[in-house]
Amino acid sequence: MNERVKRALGPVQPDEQIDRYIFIEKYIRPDNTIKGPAFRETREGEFLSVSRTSTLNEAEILALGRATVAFRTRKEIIGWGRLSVREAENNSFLNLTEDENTRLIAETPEIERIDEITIEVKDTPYEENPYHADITYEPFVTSIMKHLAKKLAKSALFIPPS
Amino acid sequence: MTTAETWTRDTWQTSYTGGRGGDDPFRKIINQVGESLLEAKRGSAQYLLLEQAFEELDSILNEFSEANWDGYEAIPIKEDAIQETKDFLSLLGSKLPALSLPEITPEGDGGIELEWYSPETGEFTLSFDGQNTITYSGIFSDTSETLGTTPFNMVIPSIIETNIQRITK
Repeated sequence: MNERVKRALGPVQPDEQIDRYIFIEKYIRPDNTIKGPAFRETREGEFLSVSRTSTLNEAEILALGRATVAFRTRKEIIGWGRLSVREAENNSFLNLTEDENTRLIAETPEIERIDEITIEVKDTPYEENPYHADITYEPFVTSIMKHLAKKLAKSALFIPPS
Repeated sequence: MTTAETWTRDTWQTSYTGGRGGDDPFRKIINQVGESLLEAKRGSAQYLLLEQAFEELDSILNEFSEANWDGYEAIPIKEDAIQETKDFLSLLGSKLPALSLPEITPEGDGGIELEWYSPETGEFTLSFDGQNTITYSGIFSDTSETLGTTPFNMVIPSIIETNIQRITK
């Protein structure tokens, strides 16, 4: 682990920028907005991997993604979804009330019991990626994750490499 | 039972008599109505759109067939999810053009997402995992949201039809 980098990053800050690498063109709409699946982690109960990139330029961001994520797939990075820590954490889910335009999840009892899901960005560096962080959910409720992913995607800006 | 809305999945499977490779979009819906109606539908704009959607689903099944296809440990797209999505789209086809066809997206859990989106009205998605359950999620321009799950028994649930119309109005 690069101690110099670890010290330079420090604790996660609300205004810090985080990037989620994207490899699938179908995740990006024609108007360059991002679809929810780009912000879903497949592993059950796991966290959403992002990178803390406030101190990096575009070339470094691209190199980081290729070295830490892209090598696992034969696909090239088409860009990243960027948002701030604050924007991510502001998407905490509150239980919906039933009115004319919203509906409580009547057919999903596990969701009915949930009042709030706290979203937090946690610093989780590792040897190969000292900039790594995780977007975590507490509690983790599978049937809500797709909705939260959509909200994160909506908060994010798509940045293609120039 | 004579309408798609009253047929259950079991009924579809016992009465379906096949078609072009088993994927003729309108065959499942109208196989008891008669060949004349089928011929009337074939070649229609709705039929062609459905045919394109089916081809796209088959393409997705092939393209995203390897593990970790998204770089984040995605699993291969499930054939059951593809078939379930085709079943839903077949039902949707009978309601075109009132309900428009969605965008099709592979999901990292092996499922398929259908999305209706408009910058003016918002986004509404359905997820199919091949388990006879639809997970739906919507974020609308009036800041309201909706989400939940509902069984899929070869009928378009009213809540889903209503929310699709909220996006496509």
